[in-house]
Amino acid sequence: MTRRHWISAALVILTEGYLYIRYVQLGAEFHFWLHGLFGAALGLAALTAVRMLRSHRRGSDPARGVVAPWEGGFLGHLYSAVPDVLFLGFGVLHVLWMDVFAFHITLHFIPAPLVAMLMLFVLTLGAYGLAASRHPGSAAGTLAVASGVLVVAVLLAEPIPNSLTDLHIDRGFGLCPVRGHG
Amino acid sequence: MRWTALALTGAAATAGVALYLGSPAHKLHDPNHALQQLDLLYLDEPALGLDRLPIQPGRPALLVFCEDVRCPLPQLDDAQVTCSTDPELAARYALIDDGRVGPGYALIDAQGQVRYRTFDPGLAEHETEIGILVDGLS
Repeated sequence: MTRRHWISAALVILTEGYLYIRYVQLGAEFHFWLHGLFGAALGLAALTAVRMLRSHRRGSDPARGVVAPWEGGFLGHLYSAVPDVLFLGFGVLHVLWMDVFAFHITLHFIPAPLVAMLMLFVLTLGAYGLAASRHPGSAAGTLAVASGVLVVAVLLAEPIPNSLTDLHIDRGFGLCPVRGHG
Repeated sequence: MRWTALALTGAAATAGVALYLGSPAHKLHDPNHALQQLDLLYLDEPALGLDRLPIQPGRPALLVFCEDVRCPLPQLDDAQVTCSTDPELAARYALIDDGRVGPGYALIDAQGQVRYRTFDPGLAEHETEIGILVDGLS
């Protein structure tokens, strides 16, 4: 780890801590974990893919790169949280086109959202570890499984309700792993 | 070292999610998590039960649902705020869970259309968030 890496790791931890406290103040822990885990998974997956490609083409060490894994994950989190920044900073309400920011709207409506995003995050951590350990085949396979989880989750996402009657329809998804809730 | 760091990161995320799911805040959140403080105006239909509530037409309204009429309410300049403990009306707004009314609220625009509803256990402290939503009604 270089000096820059230590500094950036400390900044990422501090900023994530600040973001978590802000989300808690707004009663929005659900959104912190939902967008945080998916954004971090997205950033880390992109970093892993780029390093694997560079290693394949130029023979560079896949464990080394300009962007550290925590930096990739953090940038992914920021990207996925752009609509929340627009809302709190500029009073812009959430609208459907904000799905361009890492499925910011649709992600809420997938089955068991937090468990699915946690699974995705853990899979991308594993893919990064495998790629950095020079197991590109296993890393690519793990990324493919993670992509499959995402595709299935998005395909199974509930439609956004548009009437009070819709809110009373139980579509049968296990939305929450806690017994008796959802 | 690398795998230890990755395992610790995964464990920290798992612990964070587990702590949230077991927290008192989570138990008061919307049973349909997708709709918990979504901040998207996803409804547009005539508001229910307005004849039973002290809401003046022509001005946005925040209709709060909670168990106790003395529950803390947000102070809003641009909307009238009223509170209901009626479980039947709360059920029509899907703001009742396991027999508990709210805590949550519905936003009604100046034309009497309901545009948004959510559970929100800390609604009195979320004036900024609710104010942005009220501004978005016009």
